[in-house]
Amino acid sequence: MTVGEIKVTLKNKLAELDKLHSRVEEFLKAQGSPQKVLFQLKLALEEVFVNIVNHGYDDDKEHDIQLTLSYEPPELTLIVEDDGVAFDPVHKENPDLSQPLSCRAPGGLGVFLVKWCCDLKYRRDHGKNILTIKKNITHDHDQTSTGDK
Amino acid sequence: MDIIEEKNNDIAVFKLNGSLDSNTSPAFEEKVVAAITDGVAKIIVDFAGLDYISSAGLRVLNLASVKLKPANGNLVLCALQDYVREVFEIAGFDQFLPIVSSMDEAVIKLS
Repeated sequence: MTVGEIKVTLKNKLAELDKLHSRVEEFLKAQGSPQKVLFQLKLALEEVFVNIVNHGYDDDKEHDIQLTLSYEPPELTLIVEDDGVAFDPVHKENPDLSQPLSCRAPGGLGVFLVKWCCDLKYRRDHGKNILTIKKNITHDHDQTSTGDK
Repeated sequence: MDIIEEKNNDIAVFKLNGSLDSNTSPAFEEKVVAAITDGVAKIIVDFAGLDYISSAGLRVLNLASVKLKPANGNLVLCALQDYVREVFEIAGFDQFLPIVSSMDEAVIKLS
């Protein structure tokens, strides 16, 4: 049974990042999410959102990015929908992490981090990217809860 | 996001408070790059007050590491929360960058 669900609409601009973080935090704290899960989901959503803002659109127009967050114990599901250019993060190649840091080109870690901390599913439907991010909230039993109940 | 920059002899210390994300990282990048351009070769970044980092923050530390290389400079990170440290490990940064638990240890590392 779904115990909580919110929808958030963001414009395709970086200034919306604070809104994204605060809405996600609010929602996850209400579900009693562990601190680490909260951190990783904020991270995942920031990486996905920033990628869409920076690489999703060829025009200068304003676009809506739609987010749905729901919790059906023990699983959190986040769905991100955008009408930008097709981009499948699931099949993006991982960066070479064996290179010394001082010789690496900075950047390019975002999608890799999302794939590390969450389960991803991607589909392209009617000109939209639909990314489903799932995370089991009870994976780690040693975490301190952020919930105040 | 709050960045406090201090000098400890020849070491530049950056104390980060809050979130190092896509919006706040450019200000941190500016300060770190300015220090290296001014000839600083030893940098400590104190994460004690930091509760969030994204790839944008990792990118700045990667860049600092690249820019310190010609001068054989050193970058040390200290006082990371466990879940923040985990991101550095997953990204393979900990293999090439000393990550220690306290500021004292970081200073010893650079002396």
